[in-house]
Amino acid sequence: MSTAVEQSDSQADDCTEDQAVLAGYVAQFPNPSALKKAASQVRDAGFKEFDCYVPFPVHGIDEAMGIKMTRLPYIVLACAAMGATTAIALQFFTNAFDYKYIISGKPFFSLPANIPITFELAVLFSAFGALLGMLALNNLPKFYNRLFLIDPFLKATSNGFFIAIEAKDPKFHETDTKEFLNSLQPSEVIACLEPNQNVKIPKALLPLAVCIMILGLVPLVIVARMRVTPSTTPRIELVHDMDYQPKLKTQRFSKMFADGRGMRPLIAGTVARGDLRHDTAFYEGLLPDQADEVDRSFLLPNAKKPDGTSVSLETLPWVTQIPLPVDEKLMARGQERYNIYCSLCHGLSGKGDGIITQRAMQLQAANPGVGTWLLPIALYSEPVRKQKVGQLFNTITHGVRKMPSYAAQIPVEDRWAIVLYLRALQESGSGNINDVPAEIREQLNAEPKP
Amino acid sequence: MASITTTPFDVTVETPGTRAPLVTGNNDYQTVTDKVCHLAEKPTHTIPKAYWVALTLCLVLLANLGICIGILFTQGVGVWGNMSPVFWGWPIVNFVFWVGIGHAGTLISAILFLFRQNWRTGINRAAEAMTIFAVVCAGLFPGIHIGRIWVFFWLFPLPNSMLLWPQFRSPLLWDVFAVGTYATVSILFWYMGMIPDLATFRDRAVTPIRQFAYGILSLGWTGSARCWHRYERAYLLLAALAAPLVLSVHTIVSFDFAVAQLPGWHTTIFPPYFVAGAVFSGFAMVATLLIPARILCGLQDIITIRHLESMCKIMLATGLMVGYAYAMEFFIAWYGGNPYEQFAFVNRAFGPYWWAYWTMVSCNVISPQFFWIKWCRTTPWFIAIVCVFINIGMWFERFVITVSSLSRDFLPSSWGYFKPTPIDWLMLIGSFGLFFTLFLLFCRFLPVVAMAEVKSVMPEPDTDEAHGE
Repeated sequence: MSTAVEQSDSQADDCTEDQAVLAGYVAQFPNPSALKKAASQVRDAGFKEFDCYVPFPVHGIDEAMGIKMTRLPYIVLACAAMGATTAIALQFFTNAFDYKYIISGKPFFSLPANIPITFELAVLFSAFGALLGMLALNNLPKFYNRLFLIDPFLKATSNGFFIAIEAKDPKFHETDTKEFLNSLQPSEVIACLEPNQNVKIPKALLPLAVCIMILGLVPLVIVARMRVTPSTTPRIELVHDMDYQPKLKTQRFSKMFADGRGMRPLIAGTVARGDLRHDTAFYEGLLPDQADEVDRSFLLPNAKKPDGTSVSLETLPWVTQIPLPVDEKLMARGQERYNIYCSLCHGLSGKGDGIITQRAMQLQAANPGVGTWLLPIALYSEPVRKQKVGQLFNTITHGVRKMPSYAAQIPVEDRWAIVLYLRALQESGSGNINDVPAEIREQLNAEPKP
Repeated sequence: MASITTTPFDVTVETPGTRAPLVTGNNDYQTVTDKVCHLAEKPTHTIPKAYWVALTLCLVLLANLGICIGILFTQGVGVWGNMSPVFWGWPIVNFVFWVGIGHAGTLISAILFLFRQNWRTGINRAAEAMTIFAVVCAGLFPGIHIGRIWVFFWLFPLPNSMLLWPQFRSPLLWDVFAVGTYATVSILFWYMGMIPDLATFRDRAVTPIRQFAYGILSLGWTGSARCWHRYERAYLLLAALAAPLVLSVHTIVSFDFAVAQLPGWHTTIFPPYFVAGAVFSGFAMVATLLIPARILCGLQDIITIRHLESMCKIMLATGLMVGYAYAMEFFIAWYGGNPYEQFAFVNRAFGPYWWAYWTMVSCNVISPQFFWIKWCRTTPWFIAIVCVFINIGMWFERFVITVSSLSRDFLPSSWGYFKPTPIDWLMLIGSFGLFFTLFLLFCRFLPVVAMAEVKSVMPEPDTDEAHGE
């Protein structure tokens, strides 16, 4: 034993330079059995703050040292329960509550279909619980340990068997404990010293750390700034998905064709689908047998004949019958379309007092000499009443005087519906009380219902 | 410290009443440590040439994989042979192949641990590492198979501006969770097992870089008996958790097929059949890796012929299960009386993919039968050859299941014949590059054998008491 004590003394001498404090004694044993025997003697001597260090879990050491059963299994059980609950709640919330999936008429929530994920998450959570729980209970990670400063102790992870008694144990005594450990027949006893030097991070590192932290915030600040700043440049798209595709758009150049035009003209003698407008009565309001003789430029507003005189629209061969089945549905449609497109200028009754007209006239009255608004003619006035339905249709199609063409906004069928409704407005606008059936005349005089 | 003196003898002979030692040769705790640390501690210039040759070759294959993935991302999934009606082509075949291989590691570390099979200690670390690398390869293929890789996170239930959630009644989503959980738990299990051995590396390290790196990785492990107590408990719990997990993962992978209504897929035998096949292929891959690795790392005393023989026996057993499943599928197709099912199976064996089917049967059912003969189980080069055939056969099994069923679906007008493209081939080969590169790096930088566990099953050196009991 004397050699062991000398060794430990020389070990102690090495470390006293910094007035190291004695932190405990470490005794090395030759094999696991000797260690176990010694461990039980240390336990019986009443030490609490002691531990054995072995390269592998030695069978029976727990009993020898009196280690109590760990509570790790309960931690893992709690994690498993948490994982299972999370999984069930997640599946219920996502598929049965927040976004209900209808899959082959199956119930939104049914346990069997949710078992696999529940099982997997329970295992996942408890695996983390087992590893992290073990580390936490063992106070790991702990990168500094004074035992690492003892050279022979490094064998504890290959083939060394050690018992360490710490100085903070109430029964610890500087010489008695050393004697006691020597009595256990170790290969050697080493004093473990806590170097009394305050290891501190060099001060120069502090400003550096601050600089790095500030620089680390720069990207975040830039991102935050860009998120609140309006920008006129297109957004950066890392992945275009299918937003930009190689294809010819209107008015684009193309190398594929000899003329360089991306848009292709119609092939001679062909008509595009839906462009065949053979039925002139329906599409133009002109009588089919005489339509060929009509110069189509005459149909436009303010058209002039080649000799400079104005075209008399009334003389053209207009149809006199609406080329659609006339019924209440068409009338209702006409009323609806009229109220949307026409009433703004012409007024709901056709009098020419729409809100735009009213506003325009107010502005012109306030600023004499400014503005070119023409008061629309009342639709139930004599000249309009005399017009054939074909001419009315043509007016909507091409416009007249200041009125623009509505062909782009109103489809052909709707134009005819409006023409039909116009006829109804003309009837109501130019008639008198005698045109109203006797049995409902009373309603006209009644007070409007609130 | 005295060492155990064992006269060289045949560890594969079963002597009634005695147990063959798990570690052969004149080894004690110190020499076991030295041997396991050998390759990892060698200075770079003394590493065997064979290692460099193997690593270079694997890195070339890995670079090839990287290029293929680059081509895939820029050109789209059209670079593969996946075409109507076979939309699940090689990427899914490769996925199932690799994830199957990834089952042996956890099986060895968890199930054999629970069964107290002490021989697992020699091979479990390498097998777990192999598991993780196989799962990396497996995870790669469905990842790139989704086409729009940049929205891969749609696989997970994350709140999003579309106010959509994934469909939790689909086996494909179960698969995401199962493979994700399996990969995570395998890594945790592997890492936890390595902590004490990393501490050994740390304490033996001589260069500051090694001291720092292994110091960080070993988390300050001291070998305290109180820590070991909790550690062992945690290991047991993880094993108990991983054992059902390993069975669940390939079960869920098989649901990807079995829940579909395609003839040839829609069978209840799939879960057990897939799990048996996974263990079969996993053990074949472990043996393929360990036969050269035990020589490269000088571990013949720790990974003994007896270990290889035990693995051969498991391969023989699981190979028979797989063969039984093949036969049972045919029987049920006939017995079930469903004409579509019958057509699917006759088509497998005698249709346009007959060559794949019979490659599968001869590799998976016939080649393991050699392991009935003791010489075949105890001759490493022969085991390696059989294992390569088993791996080929298991790849073809997944090919047969996926492609033969898909190419003959319900509408004869849409039937087709799957042709792989060069990119398909290069990706499959490249995935082996990834796998072997990771394994070679593992051999060089991490403890290849669980030293602490091997030591705990070694007989105690000469003392007055018997160990343990």
